[in-house]
Amino acid sequence: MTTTGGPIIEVNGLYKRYGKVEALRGMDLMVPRGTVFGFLGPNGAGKSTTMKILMGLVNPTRGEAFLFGRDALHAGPAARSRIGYLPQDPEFHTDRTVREILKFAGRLYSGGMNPLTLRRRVDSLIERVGLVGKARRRVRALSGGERQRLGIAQALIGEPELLILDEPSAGLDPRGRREVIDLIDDVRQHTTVFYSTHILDDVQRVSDAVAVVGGGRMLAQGSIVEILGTPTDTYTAILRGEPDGLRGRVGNEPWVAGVETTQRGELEEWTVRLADESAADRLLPLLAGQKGCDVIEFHLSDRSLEDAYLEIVGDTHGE
Amino acid sequence: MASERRYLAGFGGYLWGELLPWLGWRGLVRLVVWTGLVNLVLYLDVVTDWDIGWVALESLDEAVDLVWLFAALGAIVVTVGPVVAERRRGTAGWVVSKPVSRGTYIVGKVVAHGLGVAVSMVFIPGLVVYQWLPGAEHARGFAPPTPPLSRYLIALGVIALLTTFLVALVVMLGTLLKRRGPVTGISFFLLIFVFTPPAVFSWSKYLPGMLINWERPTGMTPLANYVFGGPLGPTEAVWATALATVAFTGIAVAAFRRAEL
Repeated sequence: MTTTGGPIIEVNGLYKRYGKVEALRGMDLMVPRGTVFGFLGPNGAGKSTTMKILMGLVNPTRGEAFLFGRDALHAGPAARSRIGYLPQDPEFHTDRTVREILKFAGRLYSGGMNPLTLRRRVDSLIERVGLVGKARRRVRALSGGERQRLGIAQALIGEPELLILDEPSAGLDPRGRREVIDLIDDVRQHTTVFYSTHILDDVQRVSDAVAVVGGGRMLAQGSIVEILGTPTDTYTAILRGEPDGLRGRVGNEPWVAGVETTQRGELEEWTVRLADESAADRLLPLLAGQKGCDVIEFHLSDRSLEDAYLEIVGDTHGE
Repeated sequence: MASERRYLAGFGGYLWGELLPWLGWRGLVRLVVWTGLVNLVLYLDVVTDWDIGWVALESLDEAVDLVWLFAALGAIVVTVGPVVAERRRGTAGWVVSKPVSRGTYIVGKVVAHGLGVAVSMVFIPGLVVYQWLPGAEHARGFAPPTPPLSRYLIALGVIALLTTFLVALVVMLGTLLKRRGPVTGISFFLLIFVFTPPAVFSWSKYLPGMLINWERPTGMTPLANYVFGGPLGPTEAVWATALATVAFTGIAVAAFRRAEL
């Protein structure tokens, strides 16, 4: 899917108060059309509240939200017919079967599907989320992970333009998690996916862009590359040998801000942060010039999304 | 809450889903059990002459009473669960995250449960009674006139209206209070109060209970009296019951549209 057109979701200065608790404190957000967009933040940061406001389930105290370029707060069923939503901890009618829930959800979409199309779609989704043997099982007899799979299937039933998934991987085992990520990857051609999660490896693997929120506010938003940034002051070196005293010598250089070492079997991994980036060309000769010590690898450090996330979130707590 | 451009958007699909529990095997089992229970109690009373203690007048009068009483209790019990539980658990929020208006959610609940109770707890048990009761009376040596089916069906229709009134009442209370205990308690209290009205006030004629008055001003319930050719009872009560049903539904819709889910 191309990222043409305006943002599919836009939120400006959204506030939400529950009694004395401020869940949102001026949330801003922009989700470009055609992206897989990760919505990250600690528990209580305002992710679910933002999603609920977009779905018309909760009223904001003030602020504005747009879906498909139109006021989300007055969008109604017409806008929701273009959205698939997975709530956090989805709760369905417990006395109904998996197949009944999906047929029910399918029938709710305006325009509707003819019974044969709906049946095929239900069968296909049951297979896609791995519930083939559970299609006739009642919801109350499903495990947490199976309910989550059903939740994902019902979100896809209307072939939505926009998927809003509130922690789709919650309660899933590693295999289930992988399947969710593969599924998001599958639908991205035709669907914008806006999802929240705490599993940052998954986000880094599949997302085009992310927003990091904390304390009911936007802390950072951008493409994965923008969020990760390119550290130019931190280097990783893998050393073999007995570099006695080397750590002290390196650490005492005025152009070095810090050294961390980690033993990895016979090898030692060094992470050296420079105080002066222009001194980078002095680091490798210093390491390589030691007797009894071989430099196996030397490169600019990669930064994980987890590092970037923790740095952005810092001491921010939830609402 | 988000405005709903189409007041009853998604009504057809939603109604189908709400009728599911009344259809299929589960619905059939409920129908058979309910019909069997009502008819068994009436059979024991009429054929074995076992006075179950409430009233023991004409058998048809008692049949109307039994069908009504069981259906009234059933209407409250089967409605209070889905309305309150769905709201508390979050199922209501999931449903209205689909292209379904909040009006559809409430009106669909009233229509589906009203229909389900009317068919499964009023008409079918009542028609089964109609099939065997006159024969049983003859076998006991009585010869009451066989009531005309048309009048009997209208009487069952009035009972269905009264049970739909109760369904709307429970839906409204469930939307406002969100807790099963108070909703059930208030519903049963109103069932006793509204359906055993003192006929002494000028406004009593508007109460639903005037149609099924247990005080039996004519010696039979107004509905049984109607089946045997008497007047239906105060028509004001019929219209007032229908209007109250619509009003309860409207209040529930208004409250639900403002609700955060």
